[in-house]
Amino acid sequence: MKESRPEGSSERSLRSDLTDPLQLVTEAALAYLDLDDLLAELLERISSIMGSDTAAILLVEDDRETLAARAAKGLEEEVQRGFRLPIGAGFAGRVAATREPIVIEDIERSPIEIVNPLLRERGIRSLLGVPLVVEGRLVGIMHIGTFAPRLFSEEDVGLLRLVADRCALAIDHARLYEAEHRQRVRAEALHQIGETALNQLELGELLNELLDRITKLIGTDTAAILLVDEEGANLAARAAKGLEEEVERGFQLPIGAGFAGRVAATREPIVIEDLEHSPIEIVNPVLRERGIRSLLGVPLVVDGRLIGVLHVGTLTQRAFSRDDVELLQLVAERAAQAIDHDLLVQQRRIAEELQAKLLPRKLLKVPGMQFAAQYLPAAEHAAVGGDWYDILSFADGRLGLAVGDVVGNGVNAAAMMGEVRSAVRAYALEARDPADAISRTARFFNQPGEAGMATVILGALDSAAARVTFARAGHPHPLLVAPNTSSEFLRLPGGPLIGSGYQGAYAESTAELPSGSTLLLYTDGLIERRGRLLREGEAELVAAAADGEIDPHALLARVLDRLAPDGTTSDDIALLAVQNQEHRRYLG
Amino acid sequence: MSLNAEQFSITDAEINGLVGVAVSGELDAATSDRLAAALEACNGASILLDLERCTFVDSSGIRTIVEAVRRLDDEGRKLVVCNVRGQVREMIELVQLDALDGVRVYSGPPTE
Repeated sequence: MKESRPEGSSERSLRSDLTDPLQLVTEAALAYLDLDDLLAELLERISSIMGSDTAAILLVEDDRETLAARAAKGLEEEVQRGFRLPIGAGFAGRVAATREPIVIEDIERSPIEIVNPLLRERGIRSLLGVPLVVEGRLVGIMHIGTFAPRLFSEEDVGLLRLVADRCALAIDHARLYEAEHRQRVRAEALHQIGETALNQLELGELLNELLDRITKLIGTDTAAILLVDEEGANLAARAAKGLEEEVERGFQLPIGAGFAGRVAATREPIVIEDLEHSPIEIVNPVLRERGIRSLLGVPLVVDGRLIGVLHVGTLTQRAFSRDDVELLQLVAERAAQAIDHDLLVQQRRIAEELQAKLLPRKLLKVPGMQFAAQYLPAAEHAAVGGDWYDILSFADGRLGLAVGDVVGNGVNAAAMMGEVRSAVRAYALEARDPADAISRTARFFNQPGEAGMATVILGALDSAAARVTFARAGHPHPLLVAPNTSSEFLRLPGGPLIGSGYQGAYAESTAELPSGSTLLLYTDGLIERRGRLLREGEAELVAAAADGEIDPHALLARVLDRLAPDGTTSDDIALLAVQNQEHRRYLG
Repeated sequence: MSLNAEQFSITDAEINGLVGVAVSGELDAATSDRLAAALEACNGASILLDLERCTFVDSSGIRTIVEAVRRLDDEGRKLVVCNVRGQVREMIELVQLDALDGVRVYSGPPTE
């Protein structure tokens, strides 16, 4: 359609006719700042000015390539169904692409394909569409329609264009306001989600509180949180709103399967606009049973770790917008941190309880030998681990000294620590020597079905001969603090760590424990630091232990004071020290 | 931890006709899953693991390497670990990785 600005006398009469309608439109623009209210009011007034049965506004999406129905009168389903079409396609798309008014006298004989079925369903016969342009930018399009055939005149076109110009400006302002408002709402919402008070809640309470806030924020009927299990292979429903059965039934699904599983596997948001036509198989029956139509799911990720999936759903069909997705992603980011914190606190508590039950409460009293031991949990909640110390017996009556470290942390590591500790104790009771006990322990953990790895050092103390025989499975070397020589590491041969599949023998070696000297067994948390060599950590330990005769309790205190100041450590530490005090018996 | 995850990278590697992966950065609890996945994706009778630019390995990293060795050994395949230096070499020596079947450890480039 060619440019058809009204001219001459028609322009004069149009102007006088227009004064009031335009005033009306401007007033409307001023009276409302909320975009949806504004558009509804504008359409109402435009219909009455233009004498049309229907009116609709479609706005350009952020991608600059799509029009989305935003407001409609007499065509409300267009908005409810979230109608979209590419710029260039169909009637509205063509108006947007050409930025020119288009008149369709009879849609049954339209030269342009009518894409939106609703127009016909509604019985619209004639259409007039004009672009909404502000300062050369296309904002959207507006169209009006009539049920009776009507040939829109040039005057009609001119009038709607004038109205459209005012509307475009008002819409543009309102969108700016809307964008700012959205930012404010988001900031407020995120503030709420990330509120530190949430950190005080138990995990279950936290999840429910988060879901409450999220459904209000996004405006959905349902919300659910599924968390990755300890093995990292499955998602388990942990909290739900509007979908409580999901949790009650203990719903689980493998990562990769179904809607939530796919979100977890791809770590990307997924929108299902209509569950009945979902491109992804819906595994969870509760979603359909509950009548959910539309779903939006986002991954819960902390520091690059996937911890779960958050999804929201609606009972009526909803086309979740890019804004919705971004907002839920932001929320998920905050929520994930709060959840992770709680999970770790919970795990830490369990691990600490396990740890406390498994560590010996009292050390043996042996004539001439003085023992000291300590377990220092990691300060970082992430690192409650599987370090342990133990004093046990060998078949021949010698005392066994063990320190070990299960790889990993959390409940799994603490549980495995209990297994390895028991295996070492049991085999030592039947073994000739430490290497035998360690080899048997290694074979035990090489069995199919056993998972996990641990380093262990096991010594058999012959107190009469003041000698210790060691076997070492991937564990750091013990330190000997002697009265007359400088402290030194006992660089023991050995073998790979427990659970490594190693089937060979473990080397054994014997060290003297001269009168007055103290032997220190420890786990790697004591000497291992990022950005430095183990040798440097060992040197620091030697310097901390100093030389000379030292009581084992004093040695532990001195070493921890220097290497884990203020009792803090990033990895947990187990320490076991024994001093040969034989000479004191005679002196005392 | 997030900082380490960003600095960490895994790239394809090829030395002396062996093909595999090269690790750059700190191999720890936060990053070792990515090494596991990369090793899983490798084909060939012998897989190269170039640790020249690996600056730190902790027990989680060791576990990942050992698990890969066990899996490959079960399949009759081999892991060739090379360019182990500094703290990485100390850790590998401490746990006596080279005592396992199905692994070769070189402090420099592989010579086989």
